[in-house]
Amino acid sequence: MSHHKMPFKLAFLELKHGWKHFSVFVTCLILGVAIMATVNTFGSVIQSALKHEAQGLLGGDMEVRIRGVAATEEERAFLNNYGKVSYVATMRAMAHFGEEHTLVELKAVDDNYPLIGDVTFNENISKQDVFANNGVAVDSILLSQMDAQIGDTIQLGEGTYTIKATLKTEPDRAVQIFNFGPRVMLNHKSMESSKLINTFSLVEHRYRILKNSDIVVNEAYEEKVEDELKATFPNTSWRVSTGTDGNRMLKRFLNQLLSFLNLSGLATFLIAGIGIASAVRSYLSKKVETIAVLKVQGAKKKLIAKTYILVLGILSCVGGLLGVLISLGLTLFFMPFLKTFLPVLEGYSGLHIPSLLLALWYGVLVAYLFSMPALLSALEIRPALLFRAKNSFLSLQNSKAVRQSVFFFSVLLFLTLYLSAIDKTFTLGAIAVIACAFGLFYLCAVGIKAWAKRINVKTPWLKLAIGNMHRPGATTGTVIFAIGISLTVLIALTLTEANFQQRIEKVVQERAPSLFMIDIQPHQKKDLEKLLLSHSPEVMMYPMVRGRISYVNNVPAEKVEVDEDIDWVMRGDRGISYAATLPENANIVKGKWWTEHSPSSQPLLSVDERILTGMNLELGDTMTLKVLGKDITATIANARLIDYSTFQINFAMMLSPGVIDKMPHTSVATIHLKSASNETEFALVKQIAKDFPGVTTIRTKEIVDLVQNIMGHIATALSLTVGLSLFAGLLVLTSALSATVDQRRYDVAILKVLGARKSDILKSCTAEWMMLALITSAIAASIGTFSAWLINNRLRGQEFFAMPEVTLSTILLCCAVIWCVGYWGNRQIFNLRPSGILRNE
Amino acid sequence: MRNENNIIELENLSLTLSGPNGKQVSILHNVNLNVQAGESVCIVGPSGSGKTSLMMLISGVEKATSGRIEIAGKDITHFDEDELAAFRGENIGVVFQNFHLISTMTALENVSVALELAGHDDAENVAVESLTAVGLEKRIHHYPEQLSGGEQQRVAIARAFATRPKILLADEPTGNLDSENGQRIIELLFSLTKQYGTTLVLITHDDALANKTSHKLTMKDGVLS
Repeated sequence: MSHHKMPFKLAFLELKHGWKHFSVFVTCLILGVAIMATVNTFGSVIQSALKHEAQGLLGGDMEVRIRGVAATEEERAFLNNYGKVSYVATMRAMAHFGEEHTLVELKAVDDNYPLIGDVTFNENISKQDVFANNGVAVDSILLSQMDAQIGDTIQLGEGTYTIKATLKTEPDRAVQIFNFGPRVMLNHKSMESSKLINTFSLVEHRYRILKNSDIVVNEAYEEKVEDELKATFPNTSWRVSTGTDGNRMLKRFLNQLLSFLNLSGLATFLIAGIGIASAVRSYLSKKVETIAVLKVQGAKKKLIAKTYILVLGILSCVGGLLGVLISLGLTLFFMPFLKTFLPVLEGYSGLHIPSLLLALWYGVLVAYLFSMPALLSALEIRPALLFRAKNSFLSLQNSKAVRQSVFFFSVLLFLTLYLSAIDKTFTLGAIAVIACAFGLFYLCAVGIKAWAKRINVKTPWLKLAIGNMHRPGATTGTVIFAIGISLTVLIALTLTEANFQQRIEKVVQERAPSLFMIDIQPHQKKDLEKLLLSHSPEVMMYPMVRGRISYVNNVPAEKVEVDEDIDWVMRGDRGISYAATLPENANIVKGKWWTEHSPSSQPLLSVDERILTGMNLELGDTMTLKVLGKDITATIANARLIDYSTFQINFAMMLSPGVIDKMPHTSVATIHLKSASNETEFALVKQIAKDFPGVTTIRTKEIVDLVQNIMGHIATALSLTVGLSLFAGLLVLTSALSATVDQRRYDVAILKVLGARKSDILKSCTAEWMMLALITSAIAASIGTFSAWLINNRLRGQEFFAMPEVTLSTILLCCAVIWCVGYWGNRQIFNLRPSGILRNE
Repeated sequence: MRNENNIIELENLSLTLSGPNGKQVSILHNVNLNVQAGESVCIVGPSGSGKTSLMMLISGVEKATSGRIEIAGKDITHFDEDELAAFRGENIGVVFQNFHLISTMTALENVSVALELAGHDDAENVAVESLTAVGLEKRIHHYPEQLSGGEQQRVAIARAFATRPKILLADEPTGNLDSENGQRIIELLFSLTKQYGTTLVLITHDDALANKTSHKLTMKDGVLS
């Protein structure tokens, strides 16, 4: 046989006779490739849909937004210079039908709407006919919620409207996740009769522009338009966005979610990689004698290397292809569910070939990266061992070749990750976190082995257990990696979710108001306050105007450097209030409330303390606010610590009295009902709706339910990946604890001949597994808790609940699982009769 | 014949095992054997005659199909696995042809584990003494794969004698060694047996070795004569 064919023949024989030994290898690869392919496919399809449908989602090439007030005729005329304009106004309001009152998302459109795509209805009726004569189109769900039918009339503010159709498609509706209520669509003329739009009503006025054909709409053009608008109409708060980043919030949210799923997928793949490394080492340990015999018979290293590289390559491709097939099934299965949340995915299939090929490539890379140390070490097996000990194990070498190959495949993996990343900065951070976690667990494994080597105990079974942790061929490192990484991810996510739920519960039980009322007109204030106070003494009502920061210490706002986490303060209009006395829920952390200052003619300002730190400001600095075209310069008198998650009324900026009191404004109010049953709340909501038709009432419980519902969906997606990561960990753990079973069986046979009882062996194994489980889970709990704390901080949670009971129960569960897996994998050795083993030797 | 000096008494001992095709294979038939304390007995016979099986029954690692086994005044025939293990730890040392050292333990650990299982407080020091007695004081931290065949067998002998057993069972202890190493192992085995007053039951094909024992028995087709 020619030398070229020899490796193929040997590889074929290895696979033919040894395929059973590769079950863990192939399963790990299938799992890793399937999860990477699925996450990559969803990521790519969503990215591609958002990119291609961006203009449709934005409703034009460019959107100009003004909060609080609509554009004047002059401003509208100016906007027409840029192209065809469509005006859309959105707000939340109460819809009334008989005794039913529901919070809805109102959308007033003009004849040009939609500029891109079509709005369609389930009924055979034209857009013109729907919106004529105070007609509205609604989401089908509103009909069932209010027990209404097509043709029924509903009340919105002071206007009466006929439901003429149900919405089938709304091209600029990107995502349904954050809707507070069903959509009600009408035209602007109809909207006027509701009298809901007043100065400072919480309305978003959007002007979508379909560009003149010869213009390229990009970020530079966006800046140019914004500058022109600001120069021509300096008193209006303009915000311009283009189609490419129109859904910035949605994109940012999805990117973060996808990046996290990618990270989770990568962690799973790396855990699977450890399984691969363990499986290859275990297999090659069984081949030590074969390789030695081949060498005795004249086989060169090159031939052995080629043979096993071929074996691994073939197995990687088989495992990878199976993983890709599973991923295809998963994406096709989950796509319809995803489309209910992201209608933009309509028309996109779950097949994305580049993502599948990428996952396959990852599979090959990870397989070789983790197999190389064992493979290259196997090449160094000396034939002399045939004349020595019978039970040889494969010692991993720290040779130059091993180091070079690991470096080479690591660099390839890093480059692949970096170049294919959606969010490169996040990916770099994630790689750093994963590298740190691996480094920590590696140090943990080295530390445990060193500790086990030094410790000296008298009890035989305990000594045996400690010895098993550091002896050559011990699986300590694999077990630590397998449970450590997956447990860290599990604890971090469990704590994050538990913290979120805990905060919501605490907020709802202790601090959150029962109802939140917006758009209260000045003439309604007194009567509404009277009504609210008749139900509970805990009523808060604050006036609100809208304005934006135009100067900080006389420096134009656009030239002020602002930290990223508070740049929202500078973006467009914000709600501004005023109060004479210190609000009950205010927590002043710097300075004093104005009642404690000496009377001053200069307006004073109270701000969120993050504005001070984020803009590097001090008390005494000035801010100029533009409200209804008027500049108001105020001195910062104090700073408040605000927790926005409490659902209480909080304004980032509050002025001292006498500054904006006389300006037209609306009010917002909250009420804490002592008996906060649904019936009591509904009764009050009904009464407010009846007596104050323009006021929108939001039940905190509904927001909480909405937020919990959203979190539930996100948690499901995350649980799925964490579940897979845990499954991978369990698989690797099972394989690691079972990998040494042959060696253990032989050792136990000898130990039994020497006088060891079954209970000694069981106690020894239990002690070994429990020590590993406890040390590893303690480290995993520390890193996991720290990560959860970081995430909590990132989500601006003020207090962090460490919840030791959650961590402790996770650790105990981990110990129980390890014991069960260990016992199951090694069950044959406990009842082993030594004669069977010794007879065969 | 029952004798108070007997340390090993086997009465009508039979062993039947399942073959690869499920058929029952008779290994030993009505074996009777009495060995007095301090004696050295050699069992010779062709391969497959049942010598090793007999030794497994005496050491309690195999269960007899019928018959009675009394070792050091105790009837161990119906001992369970744990009772047998404890009994072995206190009374019996075994030396195998294939050495059977635990490959992941050093020479010192291989010896001291036997002492620890027998409940010795000073296991490590005794293990060092035992290894010194077989001339391996400089190799105590070596793993089996780092030792020659002769050295591995000396570790096995040190392990077997470390607990000062009443009986030493040796199954072709020189079978895997060259003549020079074999000779050294024989000398070591007999000198330690003499020194500690241990009863020796030896299986061998080596006539020179067989001639050194006080009794020589032959096993053929599962029958001892």
